[in-house]
Amino acid sequence: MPSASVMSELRAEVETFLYEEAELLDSWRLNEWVELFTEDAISHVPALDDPNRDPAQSVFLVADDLVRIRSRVRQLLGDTAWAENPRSQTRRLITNVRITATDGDIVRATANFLVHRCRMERISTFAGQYQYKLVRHGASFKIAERRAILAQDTLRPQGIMSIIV
Amino acid sequence: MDTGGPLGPNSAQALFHDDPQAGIFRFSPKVYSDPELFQREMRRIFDRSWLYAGHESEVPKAGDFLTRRVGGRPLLIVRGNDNRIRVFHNSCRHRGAMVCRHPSGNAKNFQCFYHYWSYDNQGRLIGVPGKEAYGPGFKTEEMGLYEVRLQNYRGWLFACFSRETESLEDYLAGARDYLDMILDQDEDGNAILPGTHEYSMHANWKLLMENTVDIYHLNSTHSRFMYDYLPNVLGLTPPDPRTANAGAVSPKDLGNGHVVIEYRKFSGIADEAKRKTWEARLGKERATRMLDYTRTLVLFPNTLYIEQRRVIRTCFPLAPDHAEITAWPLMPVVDDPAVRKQRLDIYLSFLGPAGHATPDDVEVMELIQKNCATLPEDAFIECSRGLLREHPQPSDELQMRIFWRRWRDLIAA
Repeated sequence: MPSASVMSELRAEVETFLYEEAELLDSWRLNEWVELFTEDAISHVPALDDPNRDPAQSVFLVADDLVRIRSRVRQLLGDTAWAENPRSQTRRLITNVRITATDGDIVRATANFLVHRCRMERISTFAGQYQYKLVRHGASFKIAERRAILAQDTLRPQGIMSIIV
Repeated sequence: MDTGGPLGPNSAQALFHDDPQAGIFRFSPKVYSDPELFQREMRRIFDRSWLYAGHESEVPKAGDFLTRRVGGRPLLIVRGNDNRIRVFHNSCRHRGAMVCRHPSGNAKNFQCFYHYWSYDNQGRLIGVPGKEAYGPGFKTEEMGLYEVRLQNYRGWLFACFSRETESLEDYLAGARDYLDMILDQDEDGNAILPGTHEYSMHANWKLLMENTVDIYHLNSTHSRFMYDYLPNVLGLTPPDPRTANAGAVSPKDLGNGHVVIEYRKFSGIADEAKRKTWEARLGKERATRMLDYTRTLVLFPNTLYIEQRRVIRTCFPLAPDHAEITAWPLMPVVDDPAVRKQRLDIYLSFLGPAGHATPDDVEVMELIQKNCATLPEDAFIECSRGLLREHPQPSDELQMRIFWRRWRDLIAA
């Protein structure tokens, strides 16, 4: 394991990266957000009862690869994603950032999130943990894996999930 | 209690304007919002119908259990040590608390933590601390969990809260043939996959029954799925709305309010390899229908099977303007991994609560709900599409009218 000061510097870098990512999502700069992903990236929201299943053998809420992430973004930025037209206002709080593993250019990190969403007089929140696999890219990172593990047992309180959490 | 109330005995009829000569079928938006109609629905429909409660593949081993709300009632579905599946009210016979608070698992016994009364997995009361305090009138063998009627149709478990309702097979009427056509496609059986979608909407439950068999809205409400996800991700050509009805079968009244729409597959899974064996097993005509057409089945009141997405979906009312939706994919036990992946993709991308279609459906149903309690007294919902056609098409509204006529008859009765 690298020294404590290297780890704390790395954590600061990852925090900066995650804060920038959150800002892109909250300000609907989704075309810039897509550019954060590697070509072989995945973006998953697993099932609520067990986040560790195989998306090829069980049902997730979101199981996107890059082709699907791009489609999702095109749809959300278009004018026929009715559930997000008019768009939600969101603000996400990213905290408890931890580096869980490093291996060469690869950094694995977790963070807690609280996504506040308001649309048409209704407020909902999504809380949980992000699990990232980041890859060094110049002075910053690219996202190879992004998993949002929601800390709730069903989606009934919010109804549906039309935003990117 | 169902007193008939100020609506009066025949007022449900008055909610509808049903004039076949003029080609008109309309109804009051109150059917989605009126609290008294909601109470009648609970008593006259949900207390008397066979309701989909689960699938036997969810409780494969002795002791496997599920807890689930069905028709507004917390139930415990459990396969006993005698290998029989039973459904009980999830309620202790002492003071009424829920005896099992886990969504699923395996258990020999269920213990209520209030006073530690316990029941075996066949529902029998087996433990009462300090039992000597009870007199001779207290008979343990009469104090098992309250059992609910359960019938199993080829793995589908239905519960019914009324002793008077006909058998499940009679209740399903013409829908049985379509269930068979759907289930015969999986020679090696099928099973529910883990990861059930449980979500909700601030809208009336009946809106989802209509929406699920509404083909007319596909190219408008689901424009983004049809013209982005379908071609760009799945590599499929969206159907041309002008010709999509070619070869379509008219929506069919299957009796007791059940209805099916049947139309040509446009984004189904290629099952070509099966054509020869199915033709030999089931005959050419039936095999052709099973392979080249796809079906959406409404089992009255609130169970849906969407064959193209391979999903069983229920929608239970919580209030006139609030419903809970649950969706389970039913997949073949023996499945090619690449095909399985494609099936899951089609299901998730269209019907998932974070997919590219269901959020837009929920949006439009909630927009309808916002209006229906506040429109003028003589306002109506239009449901006449295709009424005068000799052969109504899936993009018409005959399937909704079949549902509504049954609903009207039960509510007015």
